[in-house]
Amino acid sequence: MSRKDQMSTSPILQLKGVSIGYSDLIALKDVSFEVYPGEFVGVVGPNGSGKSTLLKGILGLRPLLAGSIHVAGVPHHARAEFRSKIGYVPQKNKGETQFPVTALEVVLMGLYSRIGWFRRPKPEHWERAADSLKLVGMGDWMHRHFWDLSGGQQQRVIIARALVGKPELLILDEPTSAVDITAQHEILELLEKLNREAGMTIMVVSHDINEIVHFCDKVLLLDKTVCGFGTASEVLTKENLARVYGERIFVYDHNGHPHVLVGDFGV
Amino acid sequence: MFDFLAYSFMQKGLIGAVIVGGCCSLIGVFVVLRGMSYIGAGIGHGCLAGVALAFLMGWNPLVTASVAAMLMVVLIEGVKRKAGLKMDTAIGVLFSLAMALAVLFIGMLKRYTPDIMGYLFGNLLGITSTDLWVMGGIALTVVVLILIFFKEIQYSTFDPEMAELSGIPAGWITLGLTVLMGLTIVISLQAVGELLVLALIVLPASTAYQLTTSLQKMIGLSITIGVVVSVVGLILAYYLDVPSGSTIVILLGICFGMALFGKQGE
Repeated sequence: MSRKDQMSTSPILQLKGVSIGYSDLIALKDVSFEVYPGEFVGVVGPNGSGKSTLLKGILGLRPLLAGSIHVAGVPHHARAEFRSKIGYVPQKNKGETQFPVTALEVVLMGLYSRIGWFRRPKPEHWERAADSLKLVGMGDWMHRHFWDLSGGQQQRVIIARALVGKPELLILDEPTSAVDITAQHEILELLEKLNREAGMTIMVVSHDINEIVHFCDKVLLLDKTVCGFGTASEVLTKENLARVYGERIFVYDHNGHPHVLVGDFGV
Repeated sequence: MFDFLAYSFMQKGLIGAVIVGGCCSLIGVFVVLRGMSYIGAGIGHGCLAGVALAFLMGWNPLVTASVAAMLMVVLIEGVKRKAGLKMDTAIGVLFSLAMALAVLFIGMLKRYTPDIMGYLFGNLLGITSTDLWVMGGIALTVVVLILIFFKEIQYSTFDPEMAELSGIPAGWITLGLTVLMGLTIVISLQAVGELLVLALIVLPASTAYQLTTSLQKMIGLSITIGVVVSVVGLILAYYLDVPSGSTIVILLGICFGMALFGKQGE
């Protein structure tokens, strides 16, 4: 999205001066950035840089020490409405492996809080769950036992669960960390398709910079605060990365995208 | 053939078997899926201590057992949080303490009390009409609450973190289920006894788990197995003149073995 377009559009996600901490430690300080409709943002940074803390703050799992977060104009303190705007895919599905459940039932669970207490899912809820599974290419597997599916297929079902509530923003925490390389690529292609064809605004946390740069419009480089936010070429520079990851970082251009290596390359 | 139906104690015993078999096997589905069996053992021991105290003080055993069950639920959670222990260790601490109290209270009884053996090993044929009303009322409460909160229980059992994140209070649901398990144990004490009640909770659900991959079918199968085996076990115990609680549990064990080996043979 051009800067001119951004001026006329309200951001989907807006963080202003956000600081998040634990009992005696500030994990993230003065974080400000905006994500606009239809953008695909990759969040990268070393271990302990605050990537997970940032997600916890956005999801309302950690209180803010300072600042504000808005999703689609809704402030973070309007908890229920704020939460309904976000679809979240956790790092690894921690579902109970003994639990007998089909892929369709897992996706339907994403609507339970909207259906409300004392109410049962109606046919239209089942239809929405089925549509969500079709959207992620799992339409033929909806009645299969969830635990009989491969890791990549399970992750697609979890993405469908995050999408079924029609969120404004889809947030994924290292969605490819627990699957093989073929499934990794398929999941990232699926996210790209959701972004390009369905216009879904996506924010993905990843530890793999080289994987994520091929798919995202913008990169957020974190190390306890924002160390860079913009296009991959703007953010993933030798200077920025050396500041965050150390001096042994080497960056070169690979098909128009920055490719990052770590080691002694004699340069 | 059905001459036993002429006896009032047998009629009450059969109704009791249906109530206890159905209620235990329903709550058992969630106990098995959530890995809460050990909490059940802890609550059971707490109930026994409550019953022994009731006999010592001349109180109502069912009411005292209910209070003891709730106390165990609160203490297990409290000790776990306060001491920073894992759940199984917290249960282990209180489980032993409750059993020690039960043995102490039984030892302090001045006279021989055969009724207390009924709470240890169960006696379906000793159930009174009042017991049946209490058992029926509690069982109905358990069934209605599980039906009302089914989808919340389902989501928080499958994925508690994401359920909590979506606005479902998974922690409270777990506490509620533990309380329902405590109540189920209380109403089952007289039927199968403290030592066997956990089997009636765990075995039908574990058997059903071997036979289906659908939660709804698992619940249906578990209840069917729990009710049918409890009734058949009671009738068999009547004809063989053996203890009903152990007969039911042995039959449930056989069902589980058949389901397990039947599944492996597929």
